[in-house]
Amino acid sequence: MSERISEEFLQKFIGLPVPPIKLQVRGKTLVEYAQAIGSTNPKYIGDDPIAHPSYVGTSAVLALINSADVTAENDEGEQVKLIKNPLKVVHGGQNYKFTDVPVKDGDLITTEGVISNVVIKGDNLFLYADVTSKNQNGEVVLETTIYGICTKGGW
Amino acid sequence: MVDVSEVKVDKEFTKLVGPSTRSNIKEYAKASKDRNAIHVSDDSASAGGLRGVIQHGMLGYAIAIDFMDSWVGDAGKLKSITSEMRGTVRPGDMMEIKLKIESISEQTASCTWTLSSITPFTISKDGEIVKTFEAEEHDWLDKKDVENNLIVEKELEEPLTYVDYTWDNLGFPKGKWNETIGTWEDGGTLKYRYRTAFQGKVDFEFNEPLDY
Repeated sequence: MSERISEEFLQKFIGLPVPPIKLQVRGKTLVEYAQAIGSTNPKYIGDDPIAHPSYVGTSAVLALINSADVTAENDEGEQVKLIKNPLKVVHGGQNYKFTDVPVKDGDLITTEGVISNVVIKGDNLFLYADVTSKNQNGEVVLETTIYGICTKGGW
Repeated sequence: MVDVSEVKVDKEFTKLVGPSTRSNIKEYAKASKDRNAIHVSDDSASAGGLRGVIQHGMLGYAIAIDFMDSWVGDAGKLKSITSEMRGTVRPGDMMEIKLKIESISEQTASCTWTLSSITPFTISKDGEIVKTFEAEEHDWLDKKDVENNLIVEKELEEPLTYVDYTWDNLGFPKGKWNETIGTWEDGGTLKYRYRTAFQGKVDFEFNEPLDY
C-alpha cells in the first residue's frame, strides 16, 4: 500500500506485544546451527554443545517477522496490519547484550517483548522490537533490539 | 585466539570468509528456522524485486560473531554488540570481517567492526572478458554502487575461489540450480564490488586488565 499513514495510527503499534517465540533447544540442532554458520569451535559442535552466541538471536528475527502480524485499530474501527507484504521486509540490524547463562540441550527459550518504535523514512517503514530471551528458569540469556525495513509497496 | 598483548588501540584484525553459497544459505534457513522466501527461492525473491536470493542478514551477523568469539577465545568474552545492515550479501560473495580496537578501559576493549561483501563480476585478460560470474549475469550491480565508487578492478595475484551455477530448463529464477565451487588460477583482472554489508560496535570483556 505505502499510502500515507497517520502518525497517530503508527503510535498505536508502539508498546504492543510481539507474539512470543518458544525455542526448544536440542543438542543436535545446536550443532547443525553452528556448522551452518561455519563455526569449528568444539564448544558448539562437540558432543556436549552449548549454543553459539548468535543462536538465540534467531528467535529475535522470528519475533520481528511475527510482529508484522500485529494489528491496530484504524480510523474506521477496523483491525489493520502494519505490514501488508512480509516479502518486502528486509533485515535492518540488531543489538545484542549477552549474559553468562549458557544455552544447552533441553532448555526451553522464550523470546518476547514489544514493538518499540515505528518510523517512516521516505518510502520505507522501519519497525523496531525490543525482545528478551529467557530460559525455563527465568534467567535472561539474551537481550535484543532488532529492526526490519519494509520497503515501498509492503506497508 | 588473540594474543592479549596485541590488544591495543587502533589495532585491526581481519578475516576473509566464503564464498557464500545457496547451499549454505539453505542450511542456515533450516537450522535457524528462518525460511523467508527471499533467502531460499530465487523466484520469490525476484518477484519481490530482489533479482535473486540474498543471504540472511543474520547469517552474515552470525559469521561475524563467530569470528569475534574465536578472536577473544578463552581470554575473555563477548559483552555486547550493535549492528546496522548497510547492504546485502549474495551467493558467490566473499565476506571480509574487520575488527578495530577503538578504546580500552580496564578489562574492556571497545571496537568497531564491519562485514564487507566482495562480489566478483568478471575476469578480463587483454581487454576481453574470460570469466563471468553470477553477479554479472543477473545484473546485481546497482546504480548506487557505481555512484559510490564501489567497483574495483585488480590484478589477480592469488588463486580466486568462486561459485558457478547452472540451471535446469526453467532457468533463473524459476528453475532448479546446481552449484560448484571452483578455483581460478589463470590470473587476469578481476572486476568486483567491495561494499559494507554490516557495521557496528562490539565490546569484549577480558579476564584480566588490559595493558594499553
